[in-house]
Amino acid sequence: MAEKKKSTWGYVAVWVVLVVLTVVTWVLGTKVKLGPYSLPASLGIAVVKTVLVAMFFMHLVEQRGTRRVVLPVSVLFLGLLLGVSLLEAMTRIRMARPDGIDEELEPKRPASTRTTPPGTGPEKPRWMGN
Amino acid sequence: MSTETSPWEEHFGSRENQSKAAQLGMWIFLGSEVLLFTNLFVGYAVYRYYYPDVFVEASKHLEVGWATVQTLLLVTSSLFVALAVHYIRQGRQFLTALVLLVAIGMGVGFLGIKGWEYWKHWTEGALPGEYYRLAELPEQGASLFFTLYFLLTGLHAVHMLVALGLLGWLVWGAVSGKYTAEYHIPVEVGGLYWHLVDVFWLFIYPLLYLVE
Repeated sequence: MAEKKKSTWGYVAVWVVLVVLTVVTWVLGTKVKLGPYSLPASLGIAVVKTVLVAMFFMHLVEQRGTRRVVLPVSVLFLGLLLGVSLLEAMTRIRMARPDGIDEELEPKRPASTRTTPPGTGPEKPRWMGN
Repeated sequence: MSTETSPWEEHFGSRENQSKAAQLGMWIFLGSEVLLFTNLFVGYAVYRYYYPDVFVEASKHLEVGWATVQTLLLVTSSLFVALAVHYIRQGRQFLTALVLLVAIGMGVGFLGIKGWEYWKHWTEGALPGEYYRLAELPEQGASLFFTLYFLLTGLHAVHMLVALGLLGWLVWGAVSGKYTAEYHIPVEVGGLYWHLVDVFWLFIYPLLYLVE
């Protein structure tokens, strides 16, 4: 356990990369409009930052066996719940959507009271924000 | 080290086993924390799928510049906590306490910014559920965005408070000489908790503040 002479510069280097990635995320999100690629880009950067923090700040790289797999397994379950829930949401019929009920009822109401629910208008369908 | 105050327990068989057991216990706890936040992230993903335009507009009501400062604060505090583990492994108790105090200062700064932001939302009525009264955005969708916003950032802030208390306890332990180059399990596993709370923010930041 006792490591006598190990430099702190490795940690500082990881921190510099984390700061640069944070600034890149901010620039991409506010200055450069990536449109449909903004969500995958920002999440991809967040994943890279997480791997850096977990591997070096949390010393996951030093762990072996069970101690090493616990966190990746929890991430696997995150992916399962997220993936299956999104599949379910994306394959619902219109009426079963929380924003779909208004559209279904729309023709039965007088034109003067009609409102377009957000994100369901005649414009082209958007994919997760785009 | 006198025997009656020794932190080493006989039933682990060896000191290495005790350290490994503590590490495994903490990693399992961190895994359960990931699953706790998973529920909110999944809820977020589903409602962002249903209300993409409203989420973009609602996100513009948040302080993205200050959130970036918060991200930098947390990332830097993580560096100092990593350094604390690094120093205590070498038995440098004073330096450990010092870098932990710097990390605590940054965590308090983070919560200060968060509190100011909450106060702003309170005054403009961007509140969760039925308390939502921000007229600029459609209530359908925007109230959901702010419900998820308060749940995600609120749960994260609660975790920050716990983690700050933990770091304070570690500072006290380092100053009182409880932790040495041989025994510093609490610093190792306490640091893990702080890093995980930082990791959650790394995802909350782009998901809530940088929607486009």
